[in-house]
Amino acid sequence: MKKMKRFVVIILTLCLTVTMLAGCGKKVETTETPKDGAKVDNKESSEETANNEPIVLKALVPNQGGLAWNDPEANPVYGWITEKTGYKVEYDILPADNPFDKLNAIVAAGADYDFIVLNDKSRYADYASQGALMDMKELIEQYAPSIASTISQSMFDVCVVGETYYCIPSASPTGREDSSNVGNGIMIRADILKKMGLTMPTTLEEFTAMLQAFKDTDPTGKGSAATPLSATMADLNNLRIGGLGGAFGVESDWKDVNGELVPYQLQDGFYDFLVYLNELYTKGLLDTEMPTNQIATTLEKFTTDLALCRIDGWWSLPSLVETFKTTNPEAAVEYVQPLEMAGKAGMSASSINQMDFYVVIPKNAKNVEATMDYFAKKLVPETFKEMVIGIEGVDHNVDAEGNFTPILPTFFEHRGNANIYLTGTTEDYGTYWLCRARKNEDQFKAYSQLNFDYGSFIHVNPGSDVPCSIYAQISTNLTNSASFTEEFVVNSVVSGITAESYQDFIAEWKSLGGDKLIEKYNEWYTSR
Amino acid sequence: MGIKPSSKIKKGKEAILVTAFAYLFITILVLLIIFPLMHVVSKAFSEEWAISSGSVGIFPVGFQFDAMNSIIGSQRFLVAFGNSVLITVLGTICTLVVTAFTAFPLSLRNLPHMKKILLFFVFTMYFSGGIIPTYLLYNAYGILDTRIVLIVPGLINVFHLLIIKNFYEDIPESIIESAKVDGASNLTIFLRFIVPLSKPVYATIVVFTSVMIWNNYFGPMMYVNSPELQTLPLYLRDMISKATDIQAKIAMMQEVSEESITAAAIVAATVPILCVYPFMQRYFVKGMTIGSTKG
Repeated sequence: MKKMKRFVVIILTLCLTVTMLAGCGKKVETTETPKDGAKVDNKESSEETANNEPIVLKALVPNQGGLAWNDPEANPVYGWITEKTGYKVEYDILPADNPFDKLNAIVAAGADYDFIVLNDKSRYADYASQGALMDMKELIEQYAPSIASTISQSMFDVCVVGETYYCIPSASPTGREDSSNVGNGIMIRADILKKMGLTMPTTLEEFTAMLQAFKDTDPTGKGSAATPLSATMADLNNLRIGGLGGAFGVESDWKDVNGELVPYQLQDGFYDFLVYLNELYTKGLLDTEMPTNQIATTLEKFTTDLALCRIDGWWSLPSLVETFKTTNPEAAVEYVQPLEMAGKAGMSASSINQMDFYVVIPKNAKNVEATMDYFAKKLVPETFKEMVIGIEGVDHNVDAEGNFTPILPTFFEHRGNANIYLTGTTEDYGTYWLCRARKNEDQFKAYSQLNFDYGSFIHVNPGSDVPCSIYAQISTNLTNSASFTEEFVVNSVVSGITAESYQDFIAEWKSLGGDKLIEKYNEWYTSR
Repeated sequence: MGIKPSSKIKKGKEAILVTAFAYLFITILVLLIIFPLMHVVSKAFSEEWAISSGSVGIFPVGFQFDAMNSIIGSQRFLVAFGNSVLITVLGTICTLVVTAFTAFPLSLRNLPHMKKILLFFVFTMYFSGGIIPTYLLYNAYGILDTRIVLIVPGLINVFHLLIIKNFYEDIPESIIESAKVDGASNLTIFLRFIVPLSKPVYATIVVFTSVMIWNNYFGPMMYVNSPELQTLPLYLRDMISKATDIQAKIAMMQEVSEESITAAAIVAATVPILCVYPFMQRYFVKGMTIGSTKG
């Protein structure tokens, strides 16, 4: 009897476990798991519309880090869009870490998301050329012709792969009319500079002398721990494009030399630029801890008088100013203007046609018509404006010149992180976006200094408009080229560079795919 | 019978020195571990200016709870925490039952073709199908984006299977033989004799498996898409990752530094396992040696 009882208990336990496991499956009331993996709404949209219930679309989106995607459905923008469009979007979010491993698997499995938001040009180009995406040009013509008139044709042109385009482009906001905005520049502690009795440097010679003077005179009293120019390894590239490389004429990734595009690795001043950085490093003017520095380390040095200069974006100003308010109210931060040498100076920016997102519809999507309708509704100019910057007088104000300024904190309570819900941008997006950039006076001042005060120094990278069809052929070469060059640059700065080592680098860079890059870029450039 | 050392015997100077050195060494070691941990905890609760200026040491400077609040106060955190607990408990129970059952026949010396059968298991320790084929396989089974995919594929961990198998082999064969003489079936032998005698190895496997499932990042990352099925490691990894583009950077209005958010995420991830660890510690040590002394 006892034996029997135990046996029954075991069987019951196993049954319970199996039942619980079965309960771990997905809920099936509104969605089901088809054989090809992704979830799909199993009710007809017409039926739901009849009940005034929002139609459910399923989207896969990238994780941009930070808290943006912490609770996408709790954001007021989400509710507003649902109400305005009649569509409720269920978001699946790619992991922030190695998102492409998963994305590749999802695409390979033929997932039937209603739409996918890609934030990588190479990935978009690859999927489009592999036939994994629907022809967006056709879909726009068939279901939502209004979209074609709200997004500029030049944006679509960049997205062409083969004969057509496969996405709705979401522009990278700029606030400038002729290029993307410049993000990074060389920041300087203007208060320390004043204490040293120096003026803001405008030439490379003055800049070098200033760094040397900081090292020699130790105006902050920090001794050998102080470093004139603090940087991380990644900042070496930012130094090139953000004001220092211009003195050597190598600020732009690609340069038009007699009608031919030349990559910066082969441009005339690149070798001299690296020699200069190596000199700074060996003299202790460039942070000797550069190879191990993190952004947080350079920030700490900058805020504690251990560094005179560092590289960072204009968006970091609010936090910097807030820190100085408590730790050092006398401190002042400014950007150094692009440094000049022998008549050469400049910073680099991409063309205006840069994308933040490529919104695509995968081949197996089921609710294509509804999805296109959803996109079109969000791109109606009035809807788009209210989605991005809210209501005038409540969330933002407009001045006499037509500039939008946010009303704080309402603007961020109602429209914070509105950018993550974008599925295409109208031509006015740049103007609206400036409202966001004006969230903080110090931030906007820094943005204006880099983008308008120093605007005449901005050189547009002529290679930045390369269409996605070219990208699809060279995405691996680009990755190889970038990592190999970065390694060489760091080695050159730390261990020195000779004419021979530079020639060896060029030879190897070409064999690693550099030659193919030059060929493909020029093929496109000459045939534009 | 050994001689029991008397506690009343006076220690020599040398012994005192060795003990003092040992204490000193261990104290330094403990401090080396505790200080960074306290630094992270302090960062989680310090104000932004203090973190940016490097003023935070082992105690918070200018206390704030916003960073921790944005982590644990989020609905996603609660969902992820609940999922992690559920998957860990269920996964551990299922894994233990299946592994314990599977190991039994493999531990019987008279099992025909034992080496070949064992090879099937051991093979999977060295070779796997690769990411995309595995994904496609789960897709074909229709278990993608369910909790099942986080439990069932890992039901048998071959390393754990071998530990249990070795433990079973150490149980005296005479017990099994005498039970057989009394007419016990294999199932009775397993349930009435083997299972009660194997509690120590089961405890070890429970510890190993539960920690493994709790910390599993790759599985949920690859095979689960829906936010409502996410687990804690996945959620915290997303929180730790920095805002990468300008839009995300300027969209953020919170005055909490990213460093603080990262630190809060680390603390939130560590505390649960830190609470449970003291109770599991001895099984970890046992686990290293258990089943390793075959007669």
